[in-house]
Amino acid sequence: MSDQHNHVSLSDPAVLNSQTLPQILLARAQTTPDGLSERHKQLGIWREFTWSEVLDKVRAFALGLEEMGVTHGDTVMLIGENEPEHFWAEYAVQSLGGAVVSVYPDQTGEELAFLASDSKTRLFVAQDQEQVDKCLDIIGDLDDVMGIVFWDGAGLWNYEHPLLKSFDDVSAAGQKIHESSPEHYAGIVAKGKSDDLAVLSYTSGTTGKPKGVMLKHGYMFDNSTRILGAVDIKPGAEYLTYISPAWATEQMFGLAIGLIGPMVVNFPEGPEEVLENIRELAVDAMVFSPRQWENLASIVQARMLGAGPVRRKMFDWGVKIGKAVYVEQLEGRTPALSARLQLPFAEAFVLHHLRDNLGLGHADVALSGGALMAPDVFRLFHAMGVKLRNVYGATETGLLTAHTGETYQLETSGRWMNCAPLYGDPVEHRITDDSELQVRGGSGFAGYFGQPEKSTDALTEDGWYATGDAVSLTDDGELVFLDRVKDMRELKSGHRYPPQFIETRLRYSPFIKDLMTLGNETRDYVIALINIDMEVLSRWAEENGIGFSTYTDLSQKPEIHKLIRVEISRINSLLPEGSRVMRFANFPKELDPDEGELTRSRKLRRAFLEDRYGDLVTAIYAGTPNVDLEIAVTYQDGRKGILKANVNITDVEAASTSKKRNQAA
Amino acid sequence: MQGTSLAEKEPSHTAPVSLSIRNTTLKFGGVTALDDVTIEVREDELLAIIGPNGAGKTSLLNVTAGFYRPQQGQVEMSGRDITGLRVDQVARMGVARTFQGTHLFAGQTVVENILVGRHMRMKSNIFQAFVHFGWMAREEDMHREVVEEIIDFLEIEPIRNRAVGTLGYGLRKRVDLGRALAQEPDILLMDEPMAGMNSEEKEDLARFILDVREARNIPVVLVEHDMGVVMDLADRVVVLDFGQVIAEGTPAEIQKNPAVIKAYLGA
Repeated sequence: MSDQHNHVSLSDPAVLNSQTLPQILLARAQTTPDGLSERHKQLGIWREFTWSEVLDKVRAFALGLEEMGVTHGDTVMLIGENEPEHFWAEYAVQSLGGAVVSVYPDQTGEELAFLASDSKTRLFVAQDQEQVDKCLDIIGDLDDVMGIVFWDGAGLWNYEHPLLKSFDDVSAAGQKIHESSPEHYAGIVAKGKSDDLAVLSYTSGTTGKPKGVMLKHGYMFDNSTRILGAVDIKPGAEYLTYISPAWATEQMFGLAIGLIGPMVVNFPEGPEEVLENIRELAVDAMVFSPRQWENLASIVQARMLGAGPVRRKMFDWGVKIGKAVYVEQLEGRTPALSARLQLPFAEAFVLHHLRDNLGLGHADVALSGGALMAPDVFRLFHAMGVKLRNVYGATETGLLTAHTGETYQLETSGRWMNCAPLYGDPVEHRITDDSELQVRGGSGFAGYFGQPEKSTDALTEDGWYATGDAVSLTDDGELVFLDRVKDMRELKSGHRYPPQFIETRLRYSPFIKDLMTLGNETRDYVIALINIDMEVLSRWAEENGIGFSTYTDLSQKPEIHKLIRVEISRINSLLPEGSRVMRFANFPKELDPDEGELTRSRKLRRAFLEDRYGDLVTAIYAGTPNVDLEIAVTYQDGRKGILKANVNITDVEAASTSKKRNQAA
Repeated sequence: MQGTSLAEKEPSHTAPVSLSIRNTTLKFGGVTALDDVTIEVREDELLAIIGPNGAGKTSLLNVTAGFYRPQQGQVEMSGRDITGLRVDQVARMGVARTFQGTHLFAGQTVVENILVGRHMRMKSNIFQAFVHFGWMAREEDMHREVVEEIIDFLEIEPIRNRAVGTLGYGLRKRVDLGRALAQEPDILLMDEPMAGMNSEEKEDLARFILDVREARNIPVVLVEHDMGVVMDLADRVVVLDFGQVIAEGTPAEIQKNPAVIKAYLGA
């Protein structure tokens, strides 16, 4: 497999002669000082940064941090959206031999306090007032905090605190040091080794407290070259950074491949302007989470719902032709002649404009990082002519498989990528009897920060990393992700069903924002709890003259239930009989991470939800048509209250047919 | 948190007077809208003017902004007499105002509406405006930049290219505030900014009003009906009733003042 790794980066002296990311940055600024490195939309205009400008920023900030006391082995926490300062701060800390912890900007003070103390954070680099407030709240409980540095001063005009400094002030101090000793920075960067810690990437904590996976510089190099060997990212490719650096995937793409590729990293104006920014940029490479791709697909569908009948017909026709040609080709079949003849027209009238409008016109490398995406979403993008590819991996092991080449299967996570011999042993895998994937090789799993026992527990006795993912391999050697091993559920009958499979497929519905399926060894069948999509459904209700007041009210309307029921029975028709969703109810409120119902990365907290909505679950299995619920809620301003709602329950399969089926069985 | 000092800046009571309205009387025929009103606004304060319907609050703003000319009395801005100046002249003296309801161009975008606020700072005349190169283009770039800074300040980037008519009321009020700020005023007069808003929109706007004072260091005069907002935001409150100042003081003092209670409850 290693013969794939003949990519340019492995013959690039800037990469070959470097052991750490800042060393590459230094080399790039020396060899191509005027080459474009970053672009940021600020005050409505795309502003560009060359390699030498980025180096100036990173160097000044690094020396300023050094003066504040940051040194080799220290941890610095970065909190904020994807903005250039976030990246510069990371490279600056790494220049000094320190490691960074990036956290999601919407994490609560409490979560921040845990992450800061677990990672032994000595300094915070925070975006704005919101994040500074959180830091100020928690530093009293931490030891040896050297400072809080912010890069956006809005709202901080009157703040006075001995530890609080602005990014610009720290950089100005660093710049002075550089002017008096111009060789100093290069000297410290040269000391960096590939075995130095670069990043602590925290697992999302769906099971217990988050753990900080130690990522070394060697890991960044290894994983970047795995990717570059598998998908065609050309040097100088335009990349949009959108997924948070709190996620290891963005550490590999935006931060590592940004330097190793190299790529031009584009920073959107803000999370709400991303779609518009993508359209302006038409980038070459982008990585979204499956959820974000699904969102994009829902937006296409929602817009089409709102379009006139002629445009809708055109869209349907164009996508049909696209499917008949592109999806067929992708799956290795020859498209029908009639479809091939119509394709140029479909391209000219529909597909080209669709891609253009979404900003995907040049997206040669469109990747979905994460577990599983609804195949329907996948097909839709391919039908539009966007070659979406899955990438699969775990923070601990790095990226493992990706869709490569021109033909691959939608349902899989692609073929194995491998480690360049320069950066580690070949990556090996095996699948246990429980379908669990186990992996070893590459730059390896360096352990959890400060938790040697848990690090050892993650490995099998013979030293393989147990991923906890249930997978299978196709005949072509492509990996199929089924579910987490512990999440494959057994029903009373002994039938095992994959809840995630069902859920991802259902999430594709424009009416469903999120959902949870239930069913275990004490239950006879599978049920679903639905979080309806308020935005889409309120518009739908308006158009259909259905009056409603709140989310609670809308979610329980019989018309809405009817709509959701159609969606579920469509998915049911794809499932084997025993795995079908028999009954469902809609959550009477929107699921909310502030109440612990979702994690910060918007994953469901299942056990908590099952407990919180226990009465509802009981009622669904009891076969009653509705139930009165009382849910304790916390409002945005901190007040607590009780939400009372009468929640309706709907049978998906008509009673008569399910009876018939029972008799037949 | 030792050594922390995050408290709101307290007004000094000694800062120079920004706006001064002295012994002003305004009559419409037989109706006396303002009766010998005297109010001073210092450079670092947020002053609220409250009063029952018809008390003369909006008249007071209109006299200050140059919409009405008072029969008696004087209005001074930074020590200069502005009584009886035209609206545009008053605006050039550094007085900006927002309106009850909004007075925006519904068909124009947010950027264009805020750009209107830059009009009085534009140096080119109507004939030069037909040529778009050289320093004309540079001037427009310069104004665009100021507008973008305001958009950033008010956090309305996602809607910058939307027509104002398609926006919700709360956002339109924010754009109206942006237009006033684009004048780079020395004082900001706001006429019932909270009217017709839901509580979330009110909280948003209240934060921006406080930010205006903190970031721009200019005094704000707020004519407002919403007592909750007034009590939370204002440093000092002036109460008008039938065109006369009946009370003046901190929000806490005003809440206890018997004359105010009487004016509001009619007891």
